[in-house]
Amino acid sequence: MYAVAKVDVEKCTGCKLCIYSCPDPNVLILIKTDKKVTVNENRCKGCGLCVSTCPKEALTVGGV
Amino acid sequence: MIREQRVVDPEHLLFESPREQVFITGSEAVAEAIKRANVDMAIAYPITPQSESMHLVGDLFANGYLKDYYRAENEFAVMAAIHGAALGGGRVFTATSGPGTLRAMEMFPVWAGSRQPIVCAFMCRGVALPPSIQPENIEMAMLLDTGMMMFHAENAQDFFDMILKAYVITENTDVHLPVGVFADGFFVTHTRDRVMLPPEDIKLPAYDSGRAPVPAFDMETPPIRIVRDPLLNKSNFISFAANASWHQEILAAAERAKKYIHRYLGGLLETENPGAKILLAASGTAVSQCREALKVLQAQGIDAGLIKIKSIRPFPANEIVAATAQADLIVVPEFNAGGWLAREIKAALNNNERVVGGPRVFGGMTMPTELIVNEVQNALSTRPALNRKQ
Amino acid sequence: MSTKIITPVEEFADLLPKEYQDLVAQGPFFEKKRVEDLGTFKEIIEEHPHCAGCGVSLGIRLAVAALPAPEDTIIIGTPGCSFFGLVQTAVNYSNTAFGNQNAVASGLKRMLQIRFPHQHKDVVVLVGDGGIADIGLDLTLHSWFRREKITTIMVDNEVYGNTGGQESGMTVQGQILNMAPTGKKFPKVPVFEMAKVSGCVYGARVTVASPRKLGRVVSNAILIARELGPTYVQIYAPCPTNLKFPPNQTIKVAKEAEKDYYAFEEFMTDEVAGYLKRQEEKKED
Repeated sequence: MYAVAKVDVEKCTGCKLCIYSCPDPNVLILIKTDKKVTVNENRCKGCGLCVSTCPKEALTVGGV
Repeated sequence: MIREQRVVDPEHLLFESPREQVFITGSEAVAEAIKRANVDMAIAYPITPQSESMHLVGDLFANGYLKDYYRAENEFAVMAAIHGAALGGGRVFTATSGPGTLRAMEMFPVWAGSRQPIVCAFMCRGVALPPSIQPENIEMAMLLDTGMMMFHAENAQDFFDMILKAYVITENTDVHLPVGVFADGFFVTHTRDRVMLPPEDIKLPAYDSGRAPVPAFDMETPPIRIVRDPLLNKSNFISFAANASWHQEILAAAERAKKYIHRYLGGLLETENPGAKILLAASGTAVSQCREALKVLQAQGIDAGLIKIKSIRPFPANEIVAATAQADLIVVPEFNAGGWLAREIKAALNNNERVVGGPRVFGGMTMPTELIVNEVQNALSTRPALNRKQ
Repeated sequence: MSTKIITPVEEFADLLPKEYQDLVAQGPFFEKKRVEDLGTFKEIIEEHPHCAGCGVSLGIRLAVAALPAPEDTIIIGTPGCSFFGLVQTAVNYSNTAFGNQNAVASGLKRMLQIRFPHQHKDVVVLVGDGGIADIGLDLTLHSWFRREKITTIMVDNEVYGNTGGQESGMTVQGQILNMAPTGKKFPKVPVFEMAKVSGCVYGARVTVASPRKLGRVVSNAILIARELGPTYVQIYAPCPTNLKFPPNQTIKVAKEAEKDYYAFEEFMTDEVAGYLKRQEEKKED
């Protein structure tokens, strides 16, 4: 909510590993058409687990 | 294979069907009640003196009167599994005694808070150290504020009728509280007495979970219910407020039960010779002893009456005030050292110095009529005002 | 369950919260979703107050996504941390006295069997280490001895988190925690080993660092429990708050444990192995 994850769409390959690492539901959503991930910032607690799992370093945690 | 029995109206089973006299123990009376109660499931754990009742319930299962039955690993596990089975939306039964009751304690307020129409028989016995397996009902004192309803059986006939009636009373939508049906162990369970039984080929209608004020846990009954902790997530304040309002709801449900207790149990209490100035007030087996004491007192020219209290929770406070309005002395014999019934009666009455809490016997001591008679005579001799009125 | 009972009438549909409307329109009921489908459907678990980076909440989120039939699943919990997410989950969920979960589940499963003899009603215990290894060990083992057809899932964070971080039976030897000021004096309670000899017909040990494996074993455990006997899944779900590591390290901590004492392991009876083999063959057809 105050610190949230942000996706670098250039680097994202839609592998979904971040989705499997998030402890909160429906935060990271797969946009099937683009094969990219997007963040629902209202639900994100900014824990950074997605950042730690992403093999492409496509995620960061920053202020809203 | 389900044993063939006709479903009949509760009124027919309890009041209209012809009854036959048998000579059976209190344990057998429990089984006779469950046989006609259309119970889905019972769970058992041994402890003296309720084991025999649950053996017989197990035999009922083996003969097709119940759909499931098993022996669990301790009383806390039994009462927890009974809670789970009741969540599932069926009619359940279990029993325990003394230390078993205390072992299971945490579950009784859970049953009440979950509004579960569970019927549990308690065959009361000693709990303290040094141990006694013999009759006393101190455990009833410890259950007074769990939210459970409590009926106290005087004898095997009461035990039979109260178990059946407990289901009928509690399964109303505006009640749905667990009911403890209490009997003093050994005195009731292990002695034979005359009991009038309705035919065994009739049974109560099945429990309908659609009548519950809260939905069953079967993923079929909206709204999808969650028990216990959702409100803790929101705030401690909200969960405390919910707990507080739920206490009131449980107390209110017990009040609402009174009309059914009148209809099926014939009232929360019974009186004999109610106009007398001297009254013996008791519940359970102590009532039987009081009946004998009354005969002795009458023979001595002392006019005394009897109050038999059948419903301990809800407690018949108003009825006791009315029944004792003209009495000068109320003697309360009890099978426990704490004197919980005398406390309850005193709390209900103004000018309760009229109440004498005694005699009290415990640990399995019997209560000879002489004890009760002496208690009355002592009270009369130490209260000259009373004597003059005699 | 039928979707009829959760579907609002048209007139009121737009009055309900968006999350509820999404649950009805894009939820997993009757859709046979798995962990692999996460990110593409509305999960039955909603926003919860678990700490950021909580391993337990991740374990629960993955387990709940793996339910083979959420529309006919009832979850039984017990006090601890685990209930925070589970009371936000769209299934019947009960949590009463601490440690009684396997007894409650036993009674519930049997009653549902009586009332719905031709329908699968999956009764799943989903609780923390304290409830299974300590206060509820007796009742847990006995539900297995009796061969109750329930699934028991432990989210093991090796600590009593909710009450402020006390030593648990599942804490590793030597770990310093509240009530263990000089370190825990005895090893982890071997619940997984006990499950093997207590009557569980299938069991798996896994961590939150292996989400798809976790999903597979949870789904297996629930399907197997329908017919063949009790099943057990133990999930390592580390706690950054009480074990004092940064919340973005939870999965790394779990991965380290996978190389050590929390290596993946699965056990099953021959009957279960045959059943799983048949399921594989059906998929290939």
